Amino acid sequence: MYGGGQVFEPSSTNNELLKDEDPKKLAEFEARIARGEKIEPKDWMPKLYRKQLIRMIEQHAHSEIIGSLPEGTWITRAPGFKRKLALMAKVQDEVGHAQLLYGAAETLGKSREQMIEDLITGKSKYSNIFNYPTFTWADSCFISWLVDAGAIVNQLANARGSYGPYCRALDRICAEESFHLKYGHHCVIHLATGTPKQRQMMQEAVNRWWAPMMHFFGPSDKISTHTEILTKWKVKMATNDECRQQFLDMYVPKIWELGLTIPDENLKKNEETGEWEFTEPDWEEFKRVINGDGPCNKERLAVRRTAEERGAWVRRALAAKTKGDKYVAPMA
Amino acid sequence: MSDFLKSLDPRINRLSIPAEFGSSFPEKDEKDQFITYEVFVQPKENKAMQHEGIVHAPTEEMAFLFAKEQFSRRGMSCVGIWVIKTTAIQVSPITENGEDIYDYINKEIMEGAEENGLSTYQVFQLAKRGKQHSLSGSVEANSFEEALWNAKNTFADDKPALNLWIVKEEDILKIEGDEFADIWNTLPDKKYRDAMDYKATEKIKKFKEEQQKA
Repeated sequence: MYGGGQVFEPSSTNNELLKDEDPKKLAEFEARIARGEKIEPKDWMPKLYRKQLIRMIEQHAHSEIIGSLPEGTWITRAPGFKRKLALMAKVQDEVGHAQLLYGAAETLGKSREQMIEDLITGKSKYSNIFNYPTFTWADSCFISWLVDAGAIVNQLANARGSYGPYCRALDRICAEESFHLKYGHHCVIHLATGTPKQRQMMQEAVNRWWAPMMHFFGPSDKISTHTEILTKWKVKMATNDECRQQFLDMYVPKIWELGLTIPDENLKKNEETGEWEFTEPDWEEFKRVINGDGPCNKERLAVRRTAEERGAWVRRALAAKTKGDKYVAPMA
Repeated sequence: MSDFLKSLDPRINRLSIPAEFGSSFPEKDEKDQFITYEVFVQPKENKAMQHEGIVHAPTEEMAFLFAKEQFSRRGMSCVGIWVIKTTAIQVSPITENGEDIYDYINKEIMEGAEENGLSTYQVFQLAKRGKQHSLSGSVEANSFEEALWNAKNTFADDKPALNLWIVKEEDILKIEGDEFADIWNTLPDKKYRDAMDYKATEKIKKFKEEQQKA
């Protein structure tokens, strides 16, 4: 899974990065992308392209690894053996996705260790939605179905991007997400068509998660020359609003058909424009949580930090076997 | 308990994580990231071994264990995995405009090559940008340069190869063949990992019918 809402802030350093590029090489690079060819790690690329891709793939990887925590907590309490097996498989997939993505980002020249350090120290971000807690089993079902559904919308868009290693990782990830989506839907259907208590549990989860779900795709993109460049370079493949609309279009009817309600009385499809209308999400809360003041930010990072600290002796012991091996960036 | 982080997650409570921690990264004597290994997977007997991605590992045996979990835990079959240290792979430049890399390889390439005695080299080719490298086969040679030349004479055909990876046989950990077949025997049993195992159309249909009656 993965949270969207990439905000590519235009900044003076970014403009600086672009100013120094060799115009001939830049033109060749852009022509390659325009022809629909992929960029591979050893190809020449603008510094800004490298920087934004590292940032984007790294955030995606962090989201996978942190995103496995709110669901992972329900493995031991999942109802029944089959659900436990499935949830374990799903959580393993999420961590596996993080590994694939760290590998793709590493081909651009940032080591995995540096990325994990930046996650733990708060320098790099992950999807905001994972800063909310899963109170009940139904919360975990909501994530499995609908947060993953949102992630798939983003990931399918990004899989058409220009950077070869990221696209290949995403193809693999999307294939696995189809299991997550079906499994999550299966879980939600079971509760929504179950006893009154089960239905209530599922409805409460929808009520809790709707606001974070709308935040998930990020605020409306400001169209600037900067985002224009990233779109031209096929780093940014769809706007946040496009992803949000696509999600609403695909999943609101599926939620409604289960007799569940969505806690937004303004939510409806405008049949003339074909666009969904909704109450503007509370972007102040979004910013507050991204900046560290959400219900679970502290816990998520503390858990990751503890894993890093308490696993250090294992890495030290094993590292004794690798003396003389020099780390180089992986190839593809 | 007040000194420890409190969580809704019982597993996290059991970890006794301090409630407060600094913002600096845990101190390390030296960086402790493992090196990377490139992983190649053969999904079926009649398919070529193909590059799938990387794993970080301290040894090639552990690289294989990680590779098995990462790249063969899903799917109906797998018949073999190779792991190779990233540093053991020699890489050609990648060509422009779909040109064949073999067109750039001539006999002079072998001049001054460091000869190490006759060995087997495995050759991987890239057919298209964005795709993965796949195994073409092996050549015998005294050096990487000679292996390139021999690869041209053995594998160059109508379809251009854009990029080559060449690896000495001795640098590959191969887990394949009958000896290891048991490793992947249980793959078809893991249906719970597959989207097909979660059918619910009937349930929704029944639910809707009941709603309409009520």
